[in-house]
Amino acid sequence: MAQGILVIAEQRRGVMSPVTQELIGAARAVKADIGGSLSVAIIAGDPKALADSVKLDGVDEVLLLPVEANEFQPDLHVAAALQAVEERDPALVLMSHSVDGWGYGAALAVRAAAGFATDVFAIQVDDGEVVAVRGAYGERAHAKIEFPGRERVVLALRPSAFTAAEGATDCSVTTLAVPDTAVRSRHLEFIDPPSEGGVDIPAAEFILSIGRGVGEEENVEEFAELADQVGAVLGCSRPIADAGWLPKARQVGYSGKTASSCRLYLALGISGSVQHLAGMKHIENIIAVNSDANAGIFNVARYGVVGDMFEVGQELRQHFD
Amino acid sequence: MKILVPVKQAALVEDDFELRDDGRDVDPDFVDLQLNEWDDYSLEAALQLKEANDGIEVVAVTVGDDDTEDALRTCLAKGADRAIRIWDDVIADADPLVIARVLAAVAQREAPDLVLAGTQSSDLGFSATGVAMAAFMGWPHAAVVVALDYAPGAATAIVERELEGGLRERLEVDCPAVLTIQLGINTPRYASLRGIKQARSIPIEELSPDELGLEDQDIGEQARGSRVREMYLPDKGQAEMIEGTPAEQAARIAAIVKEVMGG
Amino acid sequence: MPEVSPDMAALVRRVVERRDAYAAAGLIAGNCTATTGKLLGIALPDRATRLIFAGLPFSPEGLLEELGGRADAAIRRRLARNPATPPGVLVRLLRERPEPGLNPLLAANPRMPANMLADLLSDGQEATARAVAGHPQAPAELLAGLAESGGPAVLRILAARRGLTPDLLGRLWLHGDRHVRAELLRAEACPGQLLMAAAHAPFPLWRRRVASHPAAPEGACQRLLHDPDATVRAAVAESPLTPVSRLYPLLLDPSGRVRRALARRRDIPPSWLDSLARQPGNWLRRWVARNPRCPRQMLEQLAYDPAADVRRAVSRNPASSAFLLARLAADPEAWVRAGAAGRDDLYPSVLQRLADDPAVDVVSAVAANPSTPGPTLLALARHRDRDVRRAVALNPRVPVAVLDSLVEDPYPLNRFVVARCDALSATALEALTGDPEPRIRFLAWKRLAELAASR
Ligand SMILES: Cc1cc2nc3c(=O)[nH]c(=O)nc-3n(C[C@H](O)[C@H](O)[C@H](O)COP(=O)(O)OP(=O)(O)OC[C@H]3O[C@@H](n4cnc5c(N)ncnc54)[C@H](O)[C@@H]3O)c2cc1C
Repeated sequence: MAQGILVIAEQRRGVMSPVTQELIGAARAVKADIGGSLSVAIIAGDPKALADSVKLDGVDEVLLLPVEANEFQPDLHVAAALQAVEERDPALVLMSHSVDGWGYGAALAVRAAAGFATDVFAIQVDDGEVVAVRGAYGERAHAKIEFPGRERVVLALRPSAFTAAEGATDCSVTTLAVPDTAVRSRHLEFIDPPSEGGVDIPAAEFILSIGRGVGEEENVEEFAELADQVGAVLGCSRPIADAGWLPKARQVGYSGKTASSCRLYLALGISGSVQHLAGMKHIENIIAVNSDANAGIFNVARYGVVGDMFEVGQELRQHFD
Repeated sequence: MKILVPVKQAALVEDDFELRDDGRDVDPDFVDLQLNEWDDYSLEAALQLKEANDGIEVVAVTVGDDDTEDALRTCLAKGADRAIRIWDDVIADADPLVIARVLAAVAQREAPDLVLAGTQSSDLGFSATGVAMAAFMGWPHAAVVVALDYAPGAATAIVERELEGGLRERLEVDCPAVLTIQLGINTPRYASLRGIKQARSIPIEELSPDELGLEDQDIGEQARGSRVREMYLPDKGQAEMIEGTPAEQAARIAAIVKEVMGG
Repeated sequence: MPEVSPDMAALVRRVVERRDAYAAAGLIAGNCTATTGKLLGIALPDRATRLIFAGLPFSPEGLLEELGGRADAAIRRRLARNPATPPGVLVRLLRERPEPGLNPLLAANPRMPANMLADLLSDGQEATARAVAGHPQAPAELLAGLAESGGPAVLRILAARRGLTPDLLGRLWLHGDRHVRAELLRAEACPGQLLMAAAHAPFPLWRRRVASHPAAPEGACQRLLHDPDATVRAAVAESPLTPVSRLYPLLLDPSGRVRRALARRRDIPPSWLDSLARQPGNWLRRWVARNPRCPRQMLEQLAYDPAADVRRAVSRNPASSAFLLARLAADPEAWVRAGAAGRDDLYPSVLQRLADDPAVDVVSAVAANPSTPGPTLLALARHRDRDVRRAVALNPRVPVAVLDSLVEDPYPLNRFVVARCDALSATALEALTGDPEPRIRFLAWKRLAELAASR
């Protein structure tokens, strides 16, 4: 009978990813209900160098799985993870729902004949059975996922959804040999993002975005100034770019730019069409100001203000020099 | 050569919706169906290869009931050469592992040189089907591909994957392979009106899992990697409404700005 | 091209043949009164379609009325929210005494008749009270009652109403806290002595409100000009009521905020603009360069400004000469060239040259420019960039033939824009009746029906 939890650590360029701590935190939280011990597997060229960073509260054992590649390689990752699964026979395998996670998780589940769910943001254990909670339809609904007939379940956990484990602990470290594996892709290099000057919506951390609520070209300048005052990059919805009031490089959305690095998005007079949301709804902190209480933008916003963007903007500028 | 492009008719759910009677999914009355956004890009990648080289056949395939035919018509209208639809009621509500199993069987039959899948679907966002399909087929795979350099018949492809924070990874993948394509790799075309008209008369090949040699143990309940126990609406009022006069509201916004951005 | 104007009976026949819900809805929206029952049947074939039309703000009234007659809870919610739902349907929904969650939605609908609001308010829900407090036609006695009994949120909504009566204002002043009162200080009906007193209040927000008030007493303004708080002085500088001659001391105000407010005034003497433009900070020069009072010479100088945003501002200033615009049209920064390209007073030769600019922003501005000649627009209607093609459709002077050529544009949004253009020919509308996009078909059928109805 499978028992215990296996966490598959994530690392890149020789640095443990912060999500690993969250995976361990999530594992610790359900460890008592699942039963058994908690092992953390490190798959890397030199896993030993990373071992200390995962000796966190709740971890019973660190498994080192040395492979012939420093960076993520799916064939080796699956082979190594399978090896750890075979040796420890865990009931629950936790990994990250990250780009590398997408690169091997489903293959691992298939090869391990395990139950599988991705983008999981909560885990429950009902009568010893794992139930995963994830979003559906752009977070409009949540779904509880069960795994009937599966002795083992692989869950890819959403980054930032679980509390990171802390507190160092001392635990055993075991090295496991990874069986010979055909390597069918090779990492060549990393390409760092260009640090562009000028308008760079994808790189902006704080965006103040205006929509048709701005009314006329004359008013655009006022919000450009406000954006400067609050330290934001100015973005816009499509009609504003279409009118030629702002350059197309500032348009956020489906046919514009995606605000990929944004932490705070202040949407003023934007209704929240699906196409606009495509470029920004993933952002954690969205503040929407709209005079229409029914505006769709409020469905994705974390904070909503029903009000006039000119009045709120005017008041907002009082708080910044 | 042949490129297989698995596509999905994705469900767009409106804001104000109700759940199905069994509580396991959204009531289909509240759903609008559309070709999965990611599949626009994977199809475009295939079509661009076809246009740049002679003798490439692009085959779109979906696993879905009658209602999903439109997705395939869209692909044909844009320039796919053939379209295949697999269905059996057993597959209803199947998880991505079962879908991947069916797609792998299609690939076995079609023997493509390359499979270009979407990185994820816009409705349920599993990000699993393409890679699971590769695992069933025993093929190499790379996920979240934003650049593809491939010459038909070549033993390898050079691709770039989009990692977190704008970082990219360049890698070499042995072919044939399954690549999952990320948004932004190209600018997907829109079907011309003529293309749409023509696509109406192209027959869609319809196959049952049976005809693909799949058995109940491959695609039935026991083959599923997961099952929805229950769907529910998240706690109401996702947005915290900031009440007050504009001055009070602005003060709160300023506080949030300072808290999130520091300073 | 010979124009055939459509015949209603033929339109109906075709829609009945096609059984296209959006086409049927389009005919109803286009005043087709013939065989409405049949068209309704086609427009509302199943619950999924009924749900869609119940929520669409462009649904025709006839359809919404039909939906009001057989609504389930989800359809009722959508109808209650829809600003297009006719008053009769809203009243009917209310009379059917549905689930209590519907009341706030009904009360918030601007088409809910004012005489039903008292009935709604009696449900005792806070959300309904708020909606009534914000309803544009709410009767005075209801509002007065809300001012007496409402919580802080209701008071705020009331205080923000336009056209407050002295009576309501008095009640709100009595019951409101200092934020509610700050709102009241904006009301036209705010009495002079309240404003005068507020000019001495310890809250900068109150003093700022006084400075911006169109009826602020003379003495108050004079005092606020020297207010210790920069936001108050900026409000004085902005207020069109402050005679510009008084503002001289603010020209060297320590706060940039105050000087920027000054730079935006339309009545400011050129010498002041000159002084502001010499002060540090791009924004001062941006505002000066936007100011239509900015003298020619200064504009010419600013056209060489190292900051591209300042040059862009010059390109958008109506006072900039065609000569100056020609220079900006050769600016290294695309966004500056785009500013010039959008000017209808540009030399034709310059406009022509910009049509070949490599930057999409620039070419789009040419495409949308009413001075761009027809042949150029025809060429731009075939541009490989879809945004440029759409800009052609958005051009107010686009020739019909050019517009018509865009009905086959592969980009749906472009066809949607075209479908809304008044100038579109009936032949082109006809071509759009079979469009794959439902909303485009709806528009095309609606417009054809309108043409037929007006025959
Ligand atoms: C194929 C396609 C691709 C598209 N791509 C994009 C894209 O990439 N990006 C994009 O943005 N759009 C895109 N669109 C367009 C999109 O569908 C919407 O039309 C657009 O996003 C609407 O912009 P908006 O919210 O600014 O305007 P509107 O929808 O007109 O909304 C304006 C909002 O402002 C509010 N408002 C008005 N006055 C005030 C005020 N004084 N204070 C506060 N609020 C006020 C109104 O209540 C309203 O909600 C695309 C469309 C299509 C068909």
